[in-house]
Amino acid sequence: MKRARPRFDFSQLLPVVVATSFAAVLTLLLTLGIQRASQLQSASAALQLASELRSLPQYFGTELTLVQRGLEARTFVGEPLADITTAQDGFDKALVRIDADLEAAGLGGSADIQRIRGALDAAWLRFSPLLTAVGGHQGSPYSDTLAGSRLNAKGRALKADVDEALAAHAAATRDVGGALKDLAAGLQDSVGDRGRSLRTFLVIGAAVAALLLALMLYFAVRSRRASADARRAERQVADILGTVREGLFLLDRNLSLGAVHSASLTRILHTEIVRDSSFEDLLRPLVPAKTLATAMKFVNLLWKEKVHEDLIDTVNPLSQIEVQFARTGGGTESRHLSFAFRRVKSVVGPGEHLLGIVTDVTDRVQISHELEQAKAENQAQLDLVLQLLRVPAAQLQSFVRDSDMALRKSNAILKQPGREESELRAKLNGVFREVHTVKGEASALALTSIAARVHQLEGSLVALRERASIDGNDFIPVVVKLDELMSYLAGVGQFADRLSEVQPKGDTLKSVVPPLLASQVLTTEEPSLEQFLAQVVRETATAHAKRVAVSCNGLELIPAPWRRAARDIVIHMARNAVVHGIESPEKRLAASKPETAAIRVSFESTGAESFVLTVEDDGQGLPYERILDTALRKGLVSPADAARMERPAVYGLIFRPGFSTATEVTEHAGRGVGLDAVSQTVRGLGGSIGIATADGKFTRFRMKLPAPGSKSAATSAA
Amino acid sequence: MNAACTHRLMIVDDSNIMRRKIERSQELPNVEVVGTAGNGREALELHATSRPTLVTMDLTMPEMDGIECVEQLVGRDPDIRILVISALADKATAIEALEKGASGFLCKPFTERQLNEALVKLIES
Repeated sequence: MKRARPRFDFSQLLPVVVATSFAAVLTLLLTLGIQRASQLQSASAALQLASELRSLPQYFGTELTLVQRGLEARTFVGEPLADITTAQDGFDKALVRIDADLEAAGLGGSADIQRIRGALDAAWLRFSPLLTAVGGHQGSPYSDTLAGSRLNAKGRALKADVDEALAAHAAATRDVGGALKDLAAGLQDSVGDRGRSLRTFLVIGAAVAALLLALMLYFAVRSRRASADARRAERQVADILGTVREGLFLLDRNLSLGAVHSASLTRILHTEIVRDSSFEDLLRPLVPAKTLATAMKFVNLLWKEKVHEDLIDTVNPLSQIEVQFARTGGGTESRHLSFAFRRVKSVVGPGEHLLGIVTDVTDRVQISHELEQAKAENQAQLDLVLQLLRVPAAQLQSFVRDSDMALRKSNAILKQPGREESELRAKLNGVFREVHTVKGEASALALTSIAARVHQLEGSLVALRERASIDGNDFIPVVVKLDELMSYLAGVGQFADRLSEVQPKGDTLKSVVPPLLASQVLTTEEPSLEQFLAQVVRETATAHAKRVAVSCNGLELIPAPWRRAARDIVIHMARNAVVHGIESPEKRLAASKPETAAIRVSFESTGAESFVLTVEDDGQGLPYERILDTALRKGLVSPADAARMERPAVYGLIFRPGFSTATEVTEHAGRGVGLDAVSQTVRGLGGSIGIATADGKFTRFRMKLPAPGSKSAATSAA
Repeated sequence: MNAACTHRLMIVDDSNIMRRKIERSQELPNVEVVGTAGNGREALELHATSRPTLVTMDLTMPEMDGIECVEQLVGRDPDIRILVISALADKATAIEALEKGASGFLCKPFTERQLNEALVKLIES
């Protein structure tokens, strides 16, 4: 993968550049200093030579005089002659050395020195040949005669040369000495100059060196401080990454994780984060393969320059995901995570990374779920209030009273002694009947919210009943639910009481409820059984999409002590008829029957001591085969018994606890408790039930009841 | 962006109501609506004549869908800026359109303000 080259940072190189420059200056200064020093040395050597040479003209004079006096005294002059030649030679050589030193001292080009050197040469060249002539004489200058020694021709020639040299000697001494003196003076000046310049270089060099030292110290301190700053910054970054609640991480172009990440990341993702590992691998155990693929595509979009990162937030497939983590104690834990991605704006060059931010939003999600639940509850409460408003307060109060009683009775049943399986099942059936009755009444009053709650309790009773074996502990949740239901109904009771205060007796609720509801609102007086029955049948029929008309006869004649029982019986039977007996309008039409079914309820006296309560419908009749099948399946009868059973006995099975043929269990009927409850009630009153049915035509239940206070009723009560 | 520099906007959506809504909602001074198209094919024809620089693009359309249209428009003009406007039923489809060269996504339904903010960002991108 191609990487953008980071831009060059000159500020970091400044110390190096400065130090190098200073070192170069210092080297230059030292080189110049060394040069000056060696020039100074050469100039000093030349000066010394020049100083030494100044004595030589004098020396030549002395030697020439020695030769002259020797010649006069006829002594041996070879020695001073040889000395002259040696000294002359030395002078020549000294001049050559002076020239070399001058050159080395950098004075070869100096006009002054050249002039003086020229004057010296000129003076020396005037004198030097004379010395050469003197020194060039060979052989003895004397001829020995009897009269003594006298100069021979050579001697005379020598004497002439010596005289000539001596004659020129004064001028030569003056000229050569003067030139040498000038040269020495010039060199003296030059040495002084060189010395001063050398000192200057050294002073500047020392200053530069000091400055360099100071700079190096400065940079050292600065770099120390910079690295201290860097360390502090690093610590602070570590502090931030250790503290921040979000899981922060960097992704490079290969979608590999960067070197640093926040400590929370490990906690949130429940995994160790391996540097340079791939993000895809990190995500793989958390999300389904399809989400993973989409997520990778999404993250890669952020590398596309053309895509605006703010404009793709909504398509982030990881914006809220539910993940499962293994719990330490076994099992899994569900968490909601939210991933967000941002392009990192780098200070040097284009961004090389994406910043990933992962947050655990479980609490937020839960709160929003709870809010939704609370909203639903509010709605349910509003629904309940609207339902309650439709029911006259007196009727509502009566319902609450009856229900409370039924539930108290259920509690009492549960508290009865008996831990045997059969005893427990009997208790269960007892509670079932009571609860079912409450549900039936709630449905009859169209209090669907209450009916739904009771239906739930009934559901748990059914679940319990269907278990192979039960014990006392299984009733604990039932007791709790019963308790909840009682306090719920107590609330409804309080509402009913308050409603009765605002509802004027005999008046309608037009002033407090909307017109639509007001039209259905009845008077606050408790309705007659006939009205109540009509309402129950209407509600149940509407809920099951059936069309039913109910007609009543003689119900007002029911003796007061039995009204309550009769009401329970009639309501149960009528509801069962609507749900099970009566066909759908289409079916009825197909069978050439009137679309609207009829239920007839009548109460008549059959003598002084007995009555007959009849509930009849023109529905499909009792399904003999299905009743038998169900009874066999539920183990209510053995196959052997079933084979022997006659029709009336089969129909009688529908009064057994737990029998139900309806395929769909609803709030209205279908849990096989309605007829069970009816049978119990009728027998409780000392009565009996007769069934007549014709397939596809009708079903009629005739309940014979003894008059209250009559012999048979008293016997059964006892 | 220089206010004097005008951006030419093409609206692509099969719903007449949505086209009008976008046209009326957009109120940026430097954006001029140069035309509307009801499907991808019409959008390509319109592009040839009116040379838009900005496009709002629906995804599900008859004849030629948004994804193919995005691909073809970007093929013709790599600098064209396309804002996908669609109901967010399938994030994967929206991502596909972005992979083909669209620059951003706006979820239906949207407010006038959301549309204008998205267009400003589209011009920035």
